Amino acid sequence: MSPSAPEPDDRTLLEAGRRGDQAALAQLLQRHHHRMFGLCLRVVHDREMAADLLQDAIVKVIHGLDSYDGRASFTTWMTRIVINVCLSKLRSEKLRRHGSLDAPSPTPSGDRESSLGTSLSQSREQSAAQSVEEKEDREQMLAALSSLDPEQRVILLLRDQRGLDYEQIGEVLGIAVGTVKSRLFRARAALREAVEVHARRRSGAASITAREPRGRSTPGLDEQRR
Amino acid sequence: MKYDPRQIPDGLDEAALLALAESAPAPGDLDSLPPHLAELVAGMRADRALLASLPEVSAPSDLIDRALARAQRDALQNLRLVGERTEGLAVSVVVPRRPAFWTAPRRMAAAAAAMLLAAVGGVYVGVRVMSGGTPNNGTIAAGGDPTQPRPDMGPLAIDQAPISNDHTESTDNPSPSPANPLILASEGASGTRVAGGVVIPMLPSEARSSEYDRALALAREGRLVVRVVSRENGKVSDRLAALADRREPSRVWTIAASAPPEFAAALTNPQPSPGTPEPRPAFAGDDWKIPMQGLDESAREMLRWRKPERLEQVSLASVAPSAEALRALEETLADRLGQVEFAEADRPILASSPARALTPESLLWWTQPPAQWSAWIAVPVVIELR
Repeated sequence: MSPSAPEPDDRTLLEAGRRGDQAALAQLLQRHHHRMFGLCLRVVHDREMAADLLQDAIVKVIHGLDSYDGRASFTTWMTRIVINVCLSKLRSEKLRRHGSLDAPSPTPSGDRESSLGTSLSQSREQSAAQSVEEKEDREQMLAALSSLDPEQRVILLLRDQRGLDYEQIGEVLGIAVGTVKSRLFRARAALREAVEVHARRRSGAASITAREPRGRSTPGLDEQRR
Repeated sequence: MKYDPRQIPDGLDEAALLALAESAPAPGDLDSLPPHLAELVAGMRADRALLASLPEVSAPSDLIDRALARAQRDALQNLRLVGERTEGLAVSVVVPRRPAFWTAPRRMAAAAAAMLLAAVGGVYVGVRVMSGGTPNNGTIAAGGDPTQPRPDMGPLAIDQAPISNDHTESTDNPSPSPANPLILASEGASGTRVAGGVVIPMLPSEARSSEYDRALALAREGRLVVRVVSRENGKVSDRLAALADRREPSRVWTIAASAPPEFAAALTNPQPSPGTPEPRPAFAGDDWKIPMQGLDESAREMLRWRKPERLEQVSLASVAPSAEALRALEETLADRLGQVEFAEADRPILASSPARALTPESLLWWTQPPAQWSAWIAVPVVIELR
């Protein structure tokens, strides 16, 4: 059995894509798009919106291939584009909501949570043997994460989910390493506070549920746990 | 627990706490911290582990395809928008691919038509030949007076009409006849008066290949003079010497720094009067003269030599007997010395000298490629100053 040919690296695929090789370009994007989608989803907390935004970002990547100078890795460069697209969208949504105070929130919490629940249900690594407690912890973490400012969500996800170091985070966000550390610590502190708030709510809701008769439940929490 | 930066004691800062939060837990590593900060850091460690354990999610399966398709649409839309910048109707600059005109059936049809035409033409020519006619309307097979253009001559045939110079006029200013191709070719170029007052009609240096052939025929007869008009006084000798001693000489021509004395004398002294018999080159046989189609022998007898006004130097070039060799010589001389013109003398420049040049290449002819196993031709190069 002959050994399979090694996978071409990002740079090789990138150069081929620049020369018009559509298949190489598609392979390069396929290699990164799941992780980018996960990042995008956890920034915007809406699956449909995340798909649309990632599509926008990929189009920008394709149109910007010639401007990519190779100083940063392709992953860092693409991550920066994805993050910028997502944050721009969230800022415009925030401005729009502030512009029309009477308008209802475009993304009610039920939609967000159901989207997150859907994404979780489609998780590749989710197994049936996961304990209910671990699942609740993760849902609680996602809920706490969604309550943070988008910039705080982004820096936490880049660090803890994507595993970028301080320099790479600085390249993605366009800030200095010292600023990265400062913002990261503040984001961790804010997340800790949000987790505790959600834990208190959960424990309070659990106590209320325990006092309610069997057959009745809290819709929001059910949505979370589904 | 709400984090308050003011709760950080002296000696600690956020960077140190962050480093603790992102380090691997070790027993007792948080003991030095105040209880509320130790609890905060421990919570941060737990959050970090939980975030890292969040499952990956799958993107929609068709996301890349949709993005690629949209990128293509955007590219086309941008092209269309560029075309729409002008007012009026929006015209897309995207040109749809059209099928090639020369498809296989059309190619076959064209080939069949060409073969049919060739067959018909062959039959027609055959019938004409069998009936005594000729498909050629040139002067070779034409009967009658060769000096008179035939009525069926087209515009091209005018060039083949013989010279009809009016020899009663002054030879200092020969009036070119429109029917003389050589004179026609020299229009726009000054007539050269080479040695002894011979008025030499000029061929422009941008002569076409047929004119190089004509110049070659003149060279074979020993009647071609290469005239170089230079503006650089005092540098001609050096440049000529440099051309003669080139490290990488041309394979089709050579040039000497100076001409043999007899050449220079022939170009600067008066020639015998027109009544004397025309001498022949020593190497030539009775058929030495190559027929110059369209030239009148008697007309050329009327030309006389005249010294050039500002003769600088006379040299001798040796060229392979080909139009390409003449062209190469002309290009090099034009590049190094000055404006180059081909001139026709009415008789061989040096009657007693062979036009064949004695050069190392001609003597060692077997060392040359077979294509060059023919005698090279000597051509005088007259350099004048303007």
